[in-house]
Amino acid sequence: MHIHKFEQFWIKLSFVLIAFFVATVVYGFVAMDLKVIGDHATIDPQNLADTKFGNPGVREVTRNGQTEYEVYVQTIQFAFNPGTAQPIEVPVDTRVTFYITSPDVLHGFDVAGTNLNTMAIPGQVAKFTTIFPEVREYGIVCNEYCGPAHHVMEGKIKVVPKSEFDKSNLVE
Amino acid sequence: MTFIHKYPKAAKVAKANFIVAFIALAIGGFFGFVQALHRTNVFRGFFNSGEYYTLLTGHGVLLALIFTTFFIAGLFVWGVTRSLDREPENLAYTWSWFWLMTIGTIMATVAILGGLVPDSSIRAAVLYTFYPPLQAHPLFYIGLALVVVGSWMAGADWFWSYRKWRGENPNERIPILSFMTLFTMLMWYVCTIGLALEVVGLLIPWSLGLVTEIEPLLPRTLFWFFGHAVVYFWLLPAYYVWYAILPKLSGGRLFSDSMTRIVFIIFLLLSTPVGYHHQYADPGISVGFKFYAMASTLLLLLPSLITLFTVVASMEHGARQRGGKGYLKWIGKLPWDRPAFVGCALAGIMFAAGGFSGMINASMNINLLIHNTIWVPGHFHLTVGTAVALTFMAITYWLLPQLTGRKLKHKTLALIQPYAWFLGMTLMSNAMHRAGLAGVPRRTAEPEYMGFEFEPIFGTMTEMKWQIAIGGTILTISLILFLWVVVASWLAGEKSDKPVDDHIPEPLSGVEHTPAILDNMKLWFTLALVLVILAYAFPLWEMVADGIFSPGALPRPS
Amino acid sequence: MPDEASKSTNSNESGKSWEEQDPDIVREVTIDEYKPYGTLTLTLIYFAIVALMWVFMYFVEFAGNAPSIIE
Repeated sequence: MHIHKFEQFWIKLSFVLIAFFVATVVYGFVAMDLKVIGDHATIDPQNLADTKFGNPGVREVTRNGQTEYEVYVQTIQFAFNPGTAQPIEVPVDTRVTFYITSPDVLHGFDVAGTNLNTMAIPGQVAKFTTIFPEVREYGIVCNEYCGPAHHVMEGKIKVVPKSEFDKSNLVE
Repeated sequence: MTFIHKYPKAAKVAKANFIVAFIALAIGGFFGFVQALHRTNVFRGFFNSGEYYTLLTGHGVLLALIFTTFFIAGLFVWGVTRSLDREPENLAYTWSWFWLMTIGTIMATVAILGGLVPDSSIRAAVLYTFYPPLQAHPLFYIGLALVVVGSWMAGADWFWSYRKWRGENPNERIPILSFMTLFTMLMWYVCTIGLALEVVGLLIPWSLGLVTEIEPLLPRTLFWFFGHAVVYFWLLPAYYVWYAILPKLSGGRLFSDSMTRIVFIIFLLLSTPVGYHHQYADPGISVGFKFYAMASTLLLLLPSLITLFTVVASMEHGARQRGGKGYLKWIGKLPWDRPAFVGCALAGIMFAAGGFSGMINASMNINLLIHNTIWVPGHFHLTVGTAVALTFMAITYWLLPQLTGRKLKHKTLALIQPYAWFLGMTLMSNAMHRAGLAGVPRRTAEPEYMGFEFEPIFGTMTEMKWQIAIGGTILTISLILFLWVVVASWLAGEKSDKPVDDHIPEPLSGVEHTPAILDNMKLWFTLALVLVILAYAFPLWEMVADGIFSPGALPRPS
Repeated sequence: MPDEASKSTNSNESGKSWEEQDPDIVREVTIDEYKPYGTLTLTLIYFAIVALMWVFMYFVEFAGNAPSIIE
C-alpha cells in the first residue's frame, strides 16, 4: 500500500489528537469532578404518588455527618414541580442531590448557563449531585420538546446564603 | 455521449429520485425560513407557536430523511451504473423501490401536514426523532417504515448489479464509485436494524393501539442505535463526491485509492456502536457504556481527518496542475468561478468548522455544556445542512447535464448560490453556537422566558437573533436560486451530446497499490456486526429484561 | 466506456492524457514529483486551531461553568 509520508505523519497526529481528547475527558471526570449521570433506578411512571416524587420538594438529610439536601422534581407538561409555581430554594456551598423523573413525556432539565443538564424520561430516575457556588437565581429550561406548549415550560432555582435558608419549606 | 445517452433507463431512475428530493428540499427549506423568523421573533404571523412544532417536524423529516435519502439514491444509481457499466438489472424491481419510498414519503408528509388543519386527528408533531410517549398518527410511522424498506431494496438493487458484474469480471477490483456505494449501504443495513426494531416492533403496534404502554427509554435507545449512523449515511455520499469527483473539478486526481477505501471501512465499523453519545444526559444508561461510546466516537474522527488530508491533497494537486505554487498561494489557482467546485469546496470548509463542534458534542462530560441547546442544530447545519446539502446542490450542477443531456443555464446565478449559502450559514451557525453556550434551548418556538434572561459569553442576544434571522433569509434566497437554476436547466437547457466534461481521471496512487483485503465485504460487515453486538447487546438486554413495555408510560397526543 | 477511474489506463480514446486535453491545466504533476506541502500546511493550521479551541472550551468554558454534576 502506498501512503504518502506526509499523510502518514498526519495520521499519527490524528491519533495524538484523539488520545488528547480522551485524556482531557478522563482528567476532567476524575480530577475535576466533571461527571455525567449514569444508571440510577427505574420507576413506574403511572404510580409516582406512592414514591417520594408523590410529595416533591427539598428534603434535608444527613450523610457522613454533613447536612445535605435532596430535591425531588417531577417534570410534567408544561411545568417543573417544584420549580415553576414556586422556586426550588437551596443553600449555597452545600451538597444538593436532584432526583428527577417524568410521569408523562420526555422533558429536559437544564439549569441555564450551567453544566446541570439532564433528560427526564418516564420510567427512569435521573440522579445527580452538585454544589451551587454562589448566591443567585438560576432559570430552569425544559430543553427537550414535550408538546405544543413546550416553550412556556420554565422554572427557577434560588440559591440563598446558608443563614437565610428557610427550613419551613422543606418536605418530609 | 454522456450518461443519459449511454444509460437512458438508469438516467430516468436517477432523475425521478432527484425530483422527489428537490420537492422535499423546497418544502422543508420553506419551513426552515418560517422557523428562522418565528424563533427569533422577527415575524410570527405565518403560523402560531403550537404549529411551529409541526413545521419543525416537517423541516427535519423532509430535509434530513427524505431529501437526503432520495438524492443519495439518485446519486448511487448514477455511480453504480456508470462504474459497473450496466443498466439496472430489472427495471420493474428498480421502479418498485422508488415508488415504495415515494408512497412512504407521501404518507409521512400527509401525517405531518395534517397538524396544520384545525381539529385534525391526523397529526405527527413529534419531530424527526419521534420519541414516545408523544404519539403520532400511524400513517407517520408506517410511511417512514416504507421509506426505509424501499432504501433497503435500493441497496439490494446495487448489490445485484455488483454480483452480476462480478460474475463477468472475476478478477477486477471493485470500482471506487461502487465500492463507496456498497460500503455505505452495508453501514445502512447495520444501523437500520435498530430503526426497524423500534418502528416495526414497537411504534407501529403502539400507534395502532395494539399495545397501550411503552417504555420510553427503549425506543429512544433504538432510535440512537440508528440515529448517529444515519448522519454518516448522509455524509458518506458527500465524501463520495469529494473523493471521486471533486479532485477532477479541481483540475487534479484523487490522491490515494487505498485511503479512500480504508476511510469507508472505518465508517462501516464504527458508525453504529456510538449511538450512546446522543444519550450522555440520559438516566438509565451506565457511565461505562457512555465511555465506550465516546472512545468509539472519537476514533471516528480518524476517517474524517484522513479525508481532510486526502481531499485537500487532491485539490492541491489540481491547483498545482493549474499552475499553483507556494505553501498557500496555490489555493488561488483553484476554479473559484465554477459552481460545482465552489459548492463542494465551501461545503468542505464548513465541515471543518462543524467537525470542531462535533468534537465537543462527542466528548461525554463537556457535552452537558451544550446538550439540547441551539448549539446542536448550529453544529448539524454545518454538517448535514452544509457539508452534505451544499455538496449535493453543487454536484447537481455537474450531474444534471449528464442526466438530462442539457447544458446548465444561468451559470452566474449557479455561481452566486454556493457563496450565498456559505454566507448565510456563517451568520446563522455562529450565532446558534454562541447562543447555545448561553443555554438557549433548541426545538422551541419561543426561546424567551419570563423568570430569567440568558447571559451570553460572547456577543449579545439581539445581535445573535438578527444573525439567525438574516442568515436564514440568505439561505432561503440561495435555495431559491438553486431551484431556479435546476428547473430552468432541466426544462430549457441547451441540448448537447456532451453538455459537461464528465470524465473522471484515475487516482494518483491507483487501485494497483490497494491491498485486496480492503475489498472483502464479508469480513468488514461481520466485524461491524460484532462491534454493534459488543456495544448494544448487554444494555438492550438490561432494558428489556423487566418486560419490553415496562416500566410503561401511556401515550400522549402530539 | 466503463468508469474511467477504475481502469488502469491513463488515457482516453484519443490516446492523450486528460491533463493534456484540459486547456486550464498547464503541467502534469506525477505522483513521484507531487509533494503536498500546501495540504500539510493547512492541516497543521487546522490541528493547531482545533487543539487550542479545545483547551479553551474544556478548561475555561466548561470547567468554569459551575455548578456542575459532581457525582
